[in-house]
Amino acid sequence: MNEQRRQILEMLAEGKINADEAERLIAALGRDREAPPPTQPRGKPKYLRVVVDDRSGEVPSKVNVRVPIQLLRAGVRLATLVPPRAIDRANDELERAGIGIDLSKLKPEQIEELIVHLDEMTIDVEDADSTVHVFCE
Amino acid sequence: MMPQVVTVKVTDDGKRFRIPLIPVLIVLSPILVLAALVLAVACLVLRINPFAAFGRTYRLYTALRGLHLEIDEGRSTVLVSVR
Repeated sequence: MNEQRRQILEMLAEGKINADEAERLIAALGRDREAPPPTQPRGKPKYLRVVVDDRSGEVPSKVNVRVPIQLLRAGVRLATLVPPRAIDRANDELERAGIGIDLSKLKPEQIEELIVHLDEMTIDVEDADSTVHVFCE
Repeated sequence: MMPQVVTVKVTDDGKRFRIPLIPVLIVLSPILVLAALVLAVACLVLRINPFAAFGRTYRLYTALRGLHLEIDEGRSTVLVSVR
């Protein structure tokens, strides 16, 4: 019997709490014990990895890319210095290429949030002849 | 920390070229100084803080450390690695 349970029973014996309250307190102790330990926050990811293994063609091909997350951060910070007129032209070109991204809305604070959540991201695409694996490490 | 070495391999025979960046930067320093002056003038014309621009460009350069790009197709390989 642990110390907390003993204290609850002593309080019940002394009449400080009634049986219902004691039962609730003991149940709460059990819930605390069953609760999973809080997950340790993983360190911030350092690299974005893209690994592609394609065996569908006559010649097998492999792509292995490792991009430092710091490069992403530095790129966005540099992009904030680009004049609005140039950003508008870049947005037009992106839209023409079918990429609907508004560069003027890309802020360093948002990229920090994105980087934190990138750690939880893993993309696995597998078929008979090829695999694509995108993850952070 | 600044990148020190770039490894490049774009051949079928597996030869790698290791390029030490600091000696290359020292050799190119006169050109880099001129380029920096031109960029500073361009920043002033475009009303961009040149110090912020140089600082962020330097950050981008230092962030290249750890970049690794490798594409294998049959016997051909393209490899770019920054350390």
